[in-house]
Amino acid sequence: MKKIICLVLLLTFCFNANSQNSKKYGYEVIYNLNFQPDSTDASTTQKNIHFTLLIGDKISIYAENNKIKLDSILNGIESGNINQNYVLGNLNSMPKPFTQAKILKYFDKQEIIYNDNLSSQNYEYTEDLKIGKWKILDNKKNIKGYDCHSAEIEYGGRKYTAYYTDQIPIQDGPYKFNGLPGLIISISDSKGFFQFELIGLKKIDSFNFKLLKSIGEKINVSKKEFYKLRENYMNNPIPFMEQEGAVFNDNNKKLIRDIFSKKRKKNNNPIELTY
Amino acid sequence: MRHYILWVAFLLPFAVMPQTTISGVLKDVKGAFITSASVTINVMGINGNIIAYDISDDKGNYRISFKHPAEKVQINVRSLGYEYISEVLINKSQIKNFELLEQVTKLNEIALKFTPITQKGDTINYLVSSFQDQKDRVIADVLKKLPGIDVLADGKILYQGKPILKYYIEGIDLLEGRYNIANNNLPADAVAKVQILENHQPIKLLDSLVFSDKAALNIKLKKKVTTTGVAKLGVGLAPLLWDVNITPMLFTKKRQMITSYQANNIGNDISSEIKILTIEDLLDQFESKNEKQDWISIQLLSSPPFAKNRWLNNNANLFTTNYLVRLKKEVDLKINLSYINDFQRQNGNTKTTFLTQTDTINIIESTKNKLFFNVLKSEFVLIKNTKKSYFKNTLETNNFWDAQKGFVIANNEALNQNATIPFSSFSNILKQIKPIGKKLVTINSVVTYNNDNQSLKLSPGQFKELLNNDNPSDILNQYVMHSNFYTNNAFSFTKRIRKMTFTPKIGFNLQNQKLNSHISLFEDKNENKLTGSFQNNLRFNQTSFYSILNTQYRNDNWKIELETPFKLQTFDRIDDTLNKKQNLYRFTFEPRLSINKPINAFWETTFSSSLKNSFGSINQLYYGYILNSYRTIQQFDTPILESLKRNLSFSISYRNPIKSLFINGYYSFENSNQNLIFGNIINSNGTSSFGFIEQNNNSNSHHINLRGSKFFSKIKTTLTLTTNTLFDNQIQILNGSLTDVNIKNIELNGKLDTKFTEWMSISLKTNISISNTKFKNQSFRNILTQEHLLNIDFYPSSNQYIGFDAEYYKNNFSFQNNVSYFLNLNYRFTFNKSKTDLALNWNNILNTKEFTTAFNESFSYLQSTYQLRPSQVLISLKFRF
Repeated sequence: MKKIICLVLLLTFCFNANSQNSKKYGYEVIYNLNFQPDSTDASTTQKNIHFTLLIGDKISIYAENNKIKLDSILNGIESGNINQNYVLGNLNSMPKPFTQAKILKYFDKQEIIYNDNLSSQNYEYTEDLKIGKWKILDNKKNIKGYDCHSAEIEYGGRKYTAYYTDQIPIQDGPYKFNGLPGLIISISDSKGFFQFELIGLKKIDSFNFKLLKSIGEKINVSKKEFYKLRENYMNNPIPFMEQEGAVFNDNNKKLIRDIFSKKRKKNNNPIELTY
Repeated sequence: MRHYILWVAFLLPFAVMPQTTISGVLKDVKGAFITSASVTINVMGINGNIIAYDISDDKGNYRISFKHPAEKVQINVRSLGYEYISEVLINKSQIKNFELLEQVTKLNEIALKFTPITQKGDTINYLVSSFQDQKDRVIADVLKKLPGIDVLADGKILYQGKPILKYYIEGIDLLEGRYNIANNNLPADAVAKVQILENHQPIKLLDSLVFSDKAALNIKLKKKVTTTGVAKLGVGLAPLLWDVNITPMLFTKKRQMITSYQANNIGNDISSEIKILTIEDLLDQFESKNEKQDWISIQLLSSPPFAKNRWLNNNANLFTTNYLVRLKKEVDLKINLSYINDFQRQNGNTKTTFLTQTDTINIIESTKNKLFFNVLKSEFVLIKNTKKSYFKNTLETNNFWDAQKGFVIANNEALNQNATIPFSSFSNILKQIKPIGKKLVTINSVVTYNNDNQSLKLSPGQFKELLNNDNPSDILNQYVMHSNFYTNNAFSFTKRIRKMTFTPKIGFNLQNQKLNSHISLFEDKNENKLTGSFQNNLRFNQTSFYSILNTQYRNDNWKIELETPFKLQTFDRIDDTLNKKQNLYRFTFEPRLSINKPINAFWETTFSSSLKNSFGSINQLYYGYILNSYRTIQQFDTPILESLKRNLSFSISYRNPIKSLFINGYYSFENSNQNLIFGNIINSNGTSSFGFIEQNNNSNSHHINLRGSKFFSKIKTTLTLTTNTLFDNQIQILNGSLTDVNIKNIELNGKLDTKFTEWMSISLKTNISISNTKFKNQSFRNILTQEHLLNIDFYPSSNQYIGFDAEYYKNNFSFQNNVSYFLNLNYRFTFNKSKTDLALNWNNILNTKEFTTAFNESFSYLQSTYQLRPSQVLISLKFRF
């Protein structure tokens, strides 16, 4: 593990050296997510999943910390900086993200790019940066030393309440949330299934553009198509895997189907219910 | 219609309010557009509410429309890299352009707070580095400080007040519950995380079928392949002291090994290193009925009520090796061997003063005891634990060659006691689970054989009135031979139907025991083998046929378990020589119900109720006399003890790893009904002794336990508070009559561990216990004992540590010397860049030599002293590798 962390650090430095073209400022924000994958069972609550939001001048990237670490390693293999055999031999100690999703927000193009993997195939869809209309509320709260105002939004079939601070004029937040006149410090849905909270904020001197890159070939789809694909994949992942060249016997097929049907039952609470 | 009017009335002020639109362009000094700036219209004042806002587009444009009754509003413009502008505007539509000056925006950074405890599903992870002090060397040092986890004096680990089910290293159970050897020797530096696995089912095949409410502990190492361990060599004065420990360890994916050689004469109880501490393994041992039984013993001194290393006078050697190898896929072979050799001494005095009408009589007894322990234990385990099948076979042999020598001088009369207490046992435990169709079939089999041939020699002989018509004898010999064969075999299958799991089980057990004993008296080397009621030729055979149905129901909110065992039991007790016998047949039903309900992610409640029968064991069933020690001679010419216990318990627990807060409460009630009553019996010859008489009786007890612990991460402090309350009501025979006895016992414990600065840490432990006994309506004085331990450690530099231990013990039952103090000093120096420590320990600086207790009865006064370990200095070198 230690070795991998070292490698990740080392790689980050390499990228930094490459990214001379990065803007003069950047911020790294860490959000903590507590979420309940099974809406019927509070005991399934997963706590302390950390996400990083890297904010550049006209772009931000949001992904789970473990995903960023994993991507750095995979990028390292592609560029020849890391020995593939080393990684294969240490698969157990590789970071295991809960979600492979990356969310890129282009503030100049006013669009969100959502990038995710189904099996090992990479898919991407685009949606408007403006995800809905925020309703400004009069509630105020001081969170972590910042004066925060409250606002509400409906998105993906859920109603969220956010606290943001105009003292940080970054109109960004966790997941796809953005568009408030300040950084979102905390946001949670009315049922408490998803609770994001800012736990770290620091200035960074450069911006890691490598993270924009997806690993391998990607397929551009519409948001609707992606959700359809995802449903098909969860229902029957075999064709997806076979498409990528995997060969299974009947036993293994059954095993995989069982695993996925169990997974599906437990993960019945996706963040976006409507799309 | 009325609704509409209401609505109109409500909206009227807004409708009349004109809409204000403020728009403009943001540019910098050079005329470049400023994009992505936040422009807000606020209510006047500091941090006024936001009325409306816009974000400037790529042309620097903003446009804000709003309706608000105020005359004036505030416009705020903020953008990273530019100065913050705030202006007051009249609330009317207007164009407002701004030119922003470049300025470095300095945001207050929020440092990522380290979460030392994280939870993922049923797993709680403790990050070792955030709890580890500079002085903490082995993992046990760190475990003591983790919130939710307690380590008892004997090393037993509790999670939420309950003993852990398994102790794993990298998910592997090497030690079969003897985890002290790892816990006390595994360097904390090698450990990344301590994990608590809640609701842990150790048999993988049963994982989703049979739930468990018990927790296991897993040690996650930093490296996949770890060779580590400790070596220690210490010498000291006075007399010559030594403390040696060499413990190498190896952990890989396919092999694990912990070997240890330890020797000391500084009072460290070496046998605790290999003591079985997990419940499951203890139950296995209990179930295999191969525990050592001591029929006879010399008169031991009762040990002082505080830490063993203050008084244990030992000279001990331990060798143990624990080796696990993965033979083929998923099949592990474990070998656990240990040998202990220990020589202990006990020295003490007892002074009894009798007050008579005219005189006082003093009896002074001085006791010198020597105890020899020689124990060889071996265990071979073959285990396969996969999701598809389970197989475990344990072969165990234990051999004890223990001996005791006691020397008592009472009023210038000497008494020698010599006891040889060997014991040997062999047992095999097999458990196999296989899926057949959709059912799981389980086979359990236990076979045990043990025997012992023990003897006690007293010179001169005792109990002359009872044994020798009041004539003295030179030597008295008590011989006891006991053998035991036990087997238990069961067959069960497990089937899941939706949310229910059914496990019907049938089986039988058989136990055949033989007890032979006799007493010989020697006068001038002439042996007089006593006959009649001074011998035993007892055979005691038990059989039991049982059928048990275990039903478990589990959904997301409930876990319910019901066990309904029916047993047909027979007991045959026969002594041909004494011509006595008893046969007993019993059909018993012992249901047990437990209900567990997690209320949410933090709260959980459990309720359980059970009925349990128990029957007397052979050490309470012999018809003839056995001299157990020079002061006790006993026979049990009463029927087999039968008791029925009813138990009800309720517990509630709260655990919040995010706030590092762990709380639990427990209440239990037990009612017990039995056919015999314990007490002081007057024998036919006028002497009195303790034993049973036939009389149906009831006893009740209530037990309440509350416990809470919290880690305050800002001041790095763990605080734990515990209370234990016991109310017990039973009937005893006192001076020939039945007496109602009420016992109340309250115990308060507090523990505080803090390292709020880098250079100092403090740990405080306090324990107060109050007990009160009431006979009929006569209440005795409260017995109060107090124990306060303070430990202050300083770290003047990164390689030095100075620690002071102060211990204070107080009781109110002795007249004199009811307070004991101890003071110890520890100093340690770590050689730079190496893992070598030089340590100096000065124990018992105040040189407290004796522990004295004194009791006052109506016509006598008794005072006893126990010799403690004197002031000692030990210098040791310790390596970690």
